[in-house]
Amino acid sequence: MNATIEGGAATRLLANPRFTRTMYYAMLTVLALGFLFPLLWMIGTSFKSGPDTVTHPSAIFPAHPTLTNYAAALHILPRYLWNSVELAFLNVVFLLAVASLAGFAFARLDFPGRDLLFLVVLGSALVPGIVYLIPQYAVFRDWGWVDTHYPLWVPRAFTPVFGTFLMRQFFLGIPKELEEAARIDGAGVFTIFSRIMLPLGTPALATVALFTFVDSWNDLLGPLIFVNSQRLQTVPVALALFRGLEFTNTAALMAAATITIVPVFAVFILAQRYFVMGITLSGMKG
Amino acid sequence: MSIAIGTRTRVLAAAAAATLIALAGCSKAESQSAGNASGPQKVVLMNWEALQGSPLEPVLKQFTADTGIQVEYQFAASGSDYWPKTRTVLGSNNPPDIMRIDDDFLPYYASTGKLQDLKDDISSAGMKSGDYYDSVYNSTVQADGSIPAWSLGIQPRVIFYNKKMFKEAGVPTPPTTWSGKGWTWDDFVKAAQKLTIKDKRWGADVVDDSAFETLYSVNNGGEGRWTKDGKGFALADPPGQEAVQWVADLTCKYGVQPAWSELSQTGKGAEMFAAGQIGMIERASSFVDYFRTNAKGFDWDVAPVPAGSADQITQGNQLVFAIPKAAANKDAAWKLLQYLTTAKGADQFAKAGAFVPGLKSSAQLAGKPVAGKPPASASLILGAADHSFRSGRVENIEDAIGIYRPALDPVKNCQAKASDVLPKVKPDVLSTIDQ
Repeated sequence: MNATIEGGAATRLLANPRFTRTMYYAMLTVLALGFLFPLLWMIGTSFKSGPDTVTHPSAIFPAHPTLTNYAAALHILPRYLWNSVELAFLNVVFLLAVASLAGFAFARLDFPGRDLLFLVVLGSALVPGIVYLIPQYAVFRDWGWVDTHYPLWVPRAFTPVFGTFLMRQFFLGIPKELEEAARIDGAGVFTIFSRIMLPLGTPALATVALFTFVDSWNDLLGPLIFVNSQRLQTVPVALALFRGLEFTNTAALMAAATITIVPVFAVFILAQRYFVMGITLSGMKG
Repeated sequence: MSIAIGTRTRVLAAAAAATLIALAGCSKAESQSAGNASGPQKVVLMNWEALQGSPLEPVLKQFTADTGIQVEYQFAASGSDYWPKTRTVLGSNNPPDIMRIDDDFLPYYASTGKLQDLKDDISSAGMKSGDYYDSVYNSTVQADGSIPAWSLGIQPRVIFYNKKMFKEAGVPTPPTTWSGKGWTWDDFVKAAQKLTIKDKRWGADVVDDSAFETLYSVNNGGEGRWTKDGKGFALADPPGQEAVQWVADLTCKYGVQPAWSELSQTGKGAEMFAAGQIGMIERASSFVDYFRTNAKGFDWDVAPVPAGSADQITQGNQLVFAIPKAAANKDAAWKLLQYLTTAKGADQFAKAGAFVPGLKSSAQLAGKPVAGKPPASASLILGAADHSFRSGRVENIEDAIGIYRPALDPVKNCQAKASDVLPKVKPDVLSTIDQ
């Protein structure tokens, strides 16, 4: 009898939308804290004094907050930040141009071998970059590109496999009737692309832009291999300055890392609305 | 199909293209001006340490002042990030003029044939073996007699200890000279046990300094990691197994060392020592500067590596630099390397206390204590350089390490015995170093 009453109470509780919503948010909060902890720890540690990082390594809040780590980081970072911003901009702009054109061609233009060519494009992504690193370096050396920024944006921008795939998927989802109506009105291929497809593709473009930005921003291997001069180096290499072979200046490293995620965070905040839409509409969401 | 593009679109596209081309051009213009720099002779040096604040900085400035040769310094990130750069620039014949090489990996780089043999240069410069520590002078000599790199000096392992902690625990301090009297590995454990206070502080830290693989086994009758001929995996032999187990037991059996999960983070052990949480730590002498800066609130000193049943030797990191065969400015590179390893450069390094220069006459300057700064027994580091052991080397060391080190994690985590793990990985390691 008691069990029946308790069972009924539980059912009523689960049926209560306020209760389920509270539980739902409680679970999401716990999950979010799990994801946020490293970020909070990074920010907290960036304000710790040197000994604090050892005596209270896992504490989020510093016992003796200090800004000296930020002073050290800001002393080093500006030039690297500018290089990273410039490269991210070049990568995003050129890659969007190439990926949207290629995606449009693979989705909407009929030409012999189109699908085979698309498979070849996709297949090229299966070759790990490290395999062709030395030949690639030799080619860039012969072109006079070593110790310039070209290797850090030209190859990425002009071989956008993921971007092409995502844009193609998006363009495939746009009704053909729109294109046919434009043709009847006298629009050519490029007009259809620029006036119809591209404005509709904003969410997918934003998604590709965000991925490209993050990819360029976080690239350590590229600058390390192809750039020699300190003044052309980027943020990930600057972060490596805080990490020695045997010991790391943890607090200063975290201060520098905190500064360097600000642009990524800003771009994500600006693009998040399109980002989710782009993933959904391009059929990437499972 | 006709393509219709409006005038406005065309103007906008042209403006955008012009802007982008101008922006893209910036990166080239900058670097071209750097690449085509003409004027005084220069030498390009690549290293994994940041130049600013390093002992190299003033020495390179002095080199330029003395010779007129400009040094262009290339920083490439440390640790495993350095190796892809090294291999790429060597593999594509576009190397710097002089580059840092990990002494452990030198046999591999030597086998590629990409490094200049410095034997004749060293000979014609009159750099005699008697003037240098044997462990430094011969550290880069390969099995075929070639010398594909040259060492600036050595950073020998010593035991750093917290004097305040020793005093509090009533433990006699270790010897201040290179002596095993009252300072064996058993004495080390006994001291560590007395220094340890559960949940407050630890007596010792050895496990995160990989040199223990060589030190403990050689001092107790083994050969270290590799056999002398570079063809055998000596660590898997009983003395090697004993070494690994002994170090793991500092945590697992004696409870005097923090858990491996805590110490496996780079630099964690040194940070804990600097924070007064560890009483004794085995480290290279390069940590003197780090502890001077970061260890606050207590006095510390250095002690020799404890004596084993067979010997009391230590092992050091060599500061090895090589001149690639494809280097553009080999003569200038050799002038720099010679400067760094002879009196002018070596004296400056010694005074900075960064390492023990290979040149004995300069090294004496390194053994002098700095007033008001630890370690009081700085001269002991010179003794360590004199007692440094040069272990066997193998070409494919990176691959071999990639096999046996992860396999040792369960031993360090007290989940397995070294005598069970090492014999199992031995065939794989042997087949790797035999390739």
